[in-house]
Parts: sequence; C-alpha cells; structure tokens
Amino acid sequence: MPDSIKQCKHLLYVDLSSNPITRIPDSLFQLSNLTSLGLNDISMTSLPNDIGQLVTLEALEARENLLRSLPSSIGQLKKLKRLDVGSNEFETLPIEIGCLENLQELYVDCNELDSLPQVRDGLAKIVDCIIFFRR
Amino acid sequence: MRSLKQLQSLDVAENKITCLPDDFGELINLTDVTLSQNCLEVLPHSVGRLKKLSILKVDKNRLIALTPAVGTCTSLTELILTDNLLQVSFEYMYMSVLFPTFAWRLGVAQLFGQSEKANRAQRRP
Repeated sequence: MPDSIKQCKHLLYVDLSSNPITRIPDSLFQLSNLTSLGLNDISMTSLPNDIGQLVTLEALEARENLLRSLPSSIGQLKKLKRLDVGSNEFETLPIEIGCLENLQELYVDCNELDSLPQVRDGLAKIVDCIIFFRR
Repeated sequence: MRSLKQLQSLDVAENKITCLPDDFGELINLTDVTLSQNCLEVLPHSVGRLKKLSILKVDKNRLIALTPAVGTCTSLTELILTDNLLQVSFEYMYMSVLFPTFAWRLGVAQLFGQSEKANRAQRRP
C-alpha cells in the first residue's frame, strides 16, 4: 500500500487478500476507524504486535498464511466479533484470546494445535467456533 | 468523460479493461466504483480527485501498484483489492511502471551511491 493510505481516515473495510504482499503495510495501523480487514492468502509469516492498535476492528481474516503465533496484543481488540486464522501453522494460541469478550466466531481449523489456552471468563459470546486438532 | 460529470455509480466489472482514461478523475461525483474482474495494472493518478468516492472495488485485476493519489480520496470507506499482484513496497514499483526512465536513474543512483560508499571505505586508512 502507498503510505498515503493513512490519510483515508474514514476507511472501514480493506481487503488485501490474495496479493503477494507478505506483511501488513505499516500505514494500515493508522486507520483508526477500520472495522474489517482481509489478509487471507498474502504469504504472511507473522502478525505484528501493532495489530493491537486497530481497536475498532470487528472482523479480522488472515486465513491461508504462514502464521505460527498470534501476538499478545490481539487481546486489545475488544470489539472483535470474527477472527478467522484457519489454515496457518499455529501450535498454540495466546491466553490473551480470552480477552476478546465480544468474539462470536473463531476459526482456527487446519493448524497444528494440540491444546487450547485456559480461558476463564472470556469468549462468553462465542456462537460459532471451528477448531481442528492435530492427530 | 466530462459529459458524465453527474455520474455517481459506475460498475464495469467482468470486462477486459486494461487501463482507465487519464481524465477519469473528472467524474467528481462518483461515490461507488466497481472495476472487479478486469485487466487493470494501475489506476490513473487522477483518481485522487474523486473526493466523494466511498467504495472502490478493484478485486481480480492485475494491479502491481496502487497510486499514492488514493490517499486523497478522503471519503473512502471500502477499499477492495483482493486477488491482484500488489506488494508492500510498491510506491517505488509504481514509479517504475509509470516512469521507467526515472526508476532506471534511481537504480543507477543507488548503485553509484553504494560504490561511492565502498570506495570511501577503502580509502580510509
């Protein structure tokens, strides 16, 4: 993305899926009203900690990438309703996922998970969740 | 283009368009533009003049760079770029598509700068 995209302060929905972009352009972290971000199939190896700045996000899709972990800052996305990180390379999920109190849909299918983090009070609003465990 | 100045919505999805006219930005009343499933490699710089543009869909094209002028479309709420050839560091690429000579010079300047640095390093006692 050109750096100038940060001037589009009213952007609510950006989809960069299926581009050889490999990482999130830094300028996106300055879009303070973003509610939906599509990052499927962009050959991304890590999700930067700065993702926690996008506190208005309600939907985050990062399917079919090469992610091995989620940053702990994911827990700052309090408005997130839908998190789709299926078809990556996760072995664990951070405990902070339990902070996503508005999450309704969680997709972590087709990863390398053999357990889930202990989540005490969070995830109360989950209505749809798909998790496949490694055999 | 000027005769279409009142146009608010344009949908030309699923065609074989390879480029938009340079004066596309004359359509200053456009709010929705759908260019999905065409053969676009770049958008004209004049797109930055579309101050009312709210939705821009350019999915399933051949975009290798996005014009930095998009940053001046300050009413933009939806930007759909799915399934293109975009890379992160494409401001330079954008220049190299539109101004190959400029990119070549820049490349030479960088090479020259590096060899100068190397020379200076060698010259140090």
